[in-house]
Amino acid sequence: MPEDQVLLEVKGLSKRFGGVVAVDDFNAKIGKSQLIGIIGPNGAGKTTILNLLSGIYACDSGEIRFNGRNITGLPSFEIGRLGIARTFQNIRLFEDMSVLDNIRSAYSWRAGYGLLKAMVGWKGVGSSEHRVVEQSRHWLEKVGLKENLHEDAGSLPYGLQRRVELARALAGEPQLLLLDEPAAGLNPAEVRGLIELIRRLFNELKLSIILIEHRMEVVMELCQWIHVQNFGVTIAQGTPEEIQKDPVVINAYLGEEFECSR
Amino acid sequence: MDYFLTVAVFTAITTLGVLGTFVLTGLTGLFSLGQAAFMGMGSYIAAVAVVKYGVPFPLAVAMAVVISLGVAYVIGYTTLKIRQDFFALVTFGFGEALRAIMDESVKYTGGAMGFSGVPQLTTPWLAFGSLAAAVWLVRNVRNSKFGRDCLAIRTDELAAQVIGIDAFGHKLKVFLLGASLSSFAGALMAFFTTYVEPAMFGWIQSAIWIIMVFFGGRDSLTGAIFGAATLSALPEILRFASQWRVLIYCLIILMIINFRPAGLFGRWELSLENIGLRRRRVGSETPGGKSHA
Amino acid sequence: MGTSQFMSVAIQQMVNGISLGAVYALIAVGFAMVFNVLKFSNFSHGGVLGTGAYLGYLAALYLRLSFLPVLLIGTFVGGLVAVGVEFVAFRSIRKKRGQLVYFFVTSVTMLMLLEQILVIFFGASFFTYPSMIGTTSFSIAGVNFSVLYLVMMGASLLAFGSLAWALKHTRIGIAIRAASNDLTTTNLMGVNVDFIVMATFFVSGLLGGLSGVLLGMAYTLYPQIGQLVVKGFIACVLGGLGSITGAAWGALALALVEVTLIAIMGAGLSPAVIFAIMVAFLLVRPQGFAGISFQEKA
Repeated sequence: MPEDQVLLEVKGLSKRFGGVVAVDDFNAKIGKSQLIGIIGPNGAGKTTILNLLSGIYACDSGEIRFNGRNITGLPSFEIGRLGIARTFQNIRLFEDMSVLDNIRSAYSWRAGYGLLKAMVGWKGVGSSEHRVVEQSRHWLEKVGLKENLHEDAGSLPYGLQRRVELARALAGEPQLLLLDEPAAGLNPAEVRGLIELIRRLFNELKLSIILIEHRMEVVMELCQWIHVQNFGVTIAQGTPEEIQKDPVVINAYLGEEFECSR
Repeated sequence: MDYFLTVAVFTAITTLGVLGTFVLTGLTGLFSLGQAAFMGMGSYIAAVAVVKYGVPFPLAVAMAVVISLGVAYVIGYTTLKIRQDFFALVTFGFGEALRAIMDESVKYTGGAMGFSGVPQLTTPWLAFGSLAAAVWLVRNVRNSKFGRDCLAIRTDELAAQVIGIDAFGHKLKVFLLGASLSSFAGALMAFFTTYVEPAMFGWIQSAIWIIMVFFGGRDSLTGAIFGAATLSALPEILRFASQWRVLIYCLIILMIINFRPAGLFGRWELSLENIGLRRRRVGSETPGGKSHA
Repeated sequence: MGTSQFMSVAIQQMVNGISLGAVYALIAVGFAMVFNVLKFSNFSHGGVLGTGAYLGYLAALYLRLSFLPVLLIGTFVGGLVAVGVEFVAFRSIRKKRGQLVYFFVTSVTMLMLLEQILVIFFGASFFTYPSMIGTTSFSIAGVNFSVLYLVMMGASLLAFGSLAWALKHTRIGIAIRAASNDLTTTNLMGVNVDFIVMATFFVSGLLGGLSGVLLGMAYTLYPQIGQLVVKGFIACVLGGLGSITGAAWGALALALVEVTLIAIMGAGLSPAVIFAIMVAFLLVRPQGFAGISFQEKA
């Protein structure tokens, strides 16, 4: 991959918690506009990788470069501002805020005014907020949400909450989107909808996506490249076709997931 | 001064101080047992400046606020990164440390017996006007992205960080805002009651302010004002002995937390829209408030 | 002063410090137990302390009971009060999975409530326990060993020993340790969480009541005595929140530091200095001696 096409480069990422090694020497190179999957049995350290990439955990060793810049050890809010966004395995919305406000929160750091201007009711606050509302509606529409924008986010059905979280991540206008089990808790029809949604967003927005999933249909249909993790170690990498046939992978999963989805 | 006017002014100034707790503990969820200590700082510094050094009143008040801001910055910068439990402990310690220092500096301030002989320079106009200005200011902050960020950080700090909100920076600003409101109120209070006493500013007072905010509704500015005004004025008017007063506060808040944790007002705010005088406009919802568009 | 005089003063202070530390450790461990299981700082522990102290005083003064029964009464009262507090104040928040701030507000409120009840019943002035062991002390090489202080240390050590044994060898002790680790999982494994929480509060209350009686006996009795719970909190911070042995060692360290500070600069400014030390400590090593830190899982 040519250097200027490399969006994210991860070298030797490792993390242990006490005596447990969660991630051991994870390496990856992700280009612009690529859809990568990370799969593996539970406890394989997949979420930990995302947490390391988004700056929630500090890595014990290793280096993360984003757009050529070393972002290892940066606080998570700076990484968010640099263009890496994510969703969470257990949805982390601001439940007591309206759906619209959840999205508006993603614009706080670029709202164009600070505390002092806010305190004195500076005119620009109103126009800034107006602009933010418009942009937030735009993202909500992109994930298919047009109504009930003033409902508390916590009162929405689960499937819709997932979409709100996705819209909030997109509102950050990221170059890299980290999705942690977006299909968890969805019924088969909703999973279909999710696959179409991700595909559409990927094609329209041209961002890169790293996707953790257990639902194999999602991974196999969407991903161009897959890392397979087990006990913190990458046991295999390849295209969906290669991974499906890889005996090491099948062994790690004991065949269960694969049988179901084939 | 007429008795009811006295109570009204006292209530107004206390409410101004409690606004600091509203922003810090109500909106942002930072449990601080040191807010009343900032009021104490404001009182002492302004009083000492005027009485011992002849500084003009407005300048003394400004000094009090600025110095309190400096102290708040140091405390906030060093302690806002740590766990909530520790923050509570540190603010408690701050209050007690301040009290110890005030008690010790007898030769400057009169020590534990209090510092009296402060001229009464706070007029009712000044008190009510300041409160109105402070309410306006806090309302603006609340309705801007700041109010949203407070709620975001309070609800899920990790998620807030991930979408680009600098939680530490924000908390520091909130802490400074709270300290300035409370210390300003303290300066006004000293020149109204004409004395300053360390016992007025201990952790119990801070806890009572928190009770006032939670009583009214931690998400509602209207509620905070209501809670502060009611719980400070009522006992004065009804002349409760002070020990029963605290007991009743405790029972009130226990009932609130058990039966209506959102507080009396919940998230309802007094606004032209909410009382039906104006139709709702886009972008004017209070963060976290229910709207009916 | 001469070296030998300095030495004996220093040793005296150390002895005072160690026995004070033993009592602080009782407070700290009681505090830490609730923290471990429910993950919040239980300020109401101070109220338990105060109530135990006062009721022990009543037992001593009016029932004219001797030392051991008074101690036991204060201890037991502490346990009961703690259970009552859990039931009245914390249970419903726990059931509704309330935010941390509600626990804080409630625990501080309960501390205030209990303190105010003591003020209403007993007034704001100081009391002194009737002398039960007497102020007899004996000297070894110029250092005074007060019998009372030695008893404080002994009682504390006995309490710790029993606690440690119970946590390891009784079913309820093991259940409490499991709950300290992971309350939800313990619940899912069929253990009655309500009962464990109650038991934890009871034991923590026993320790609180005991420390209250001892403090009341050794020093004076006043309604704000419950605020000494803050020492317990500081001790836990020093030792590492989450570690029970850390809490005990932290208490010892705190007491020694405190005794030294008071000897050097008098009791007046020591809160300020302790505050500064605490802030500095939190900056440098927030995970305490035992090195426990809490990483939030995403």
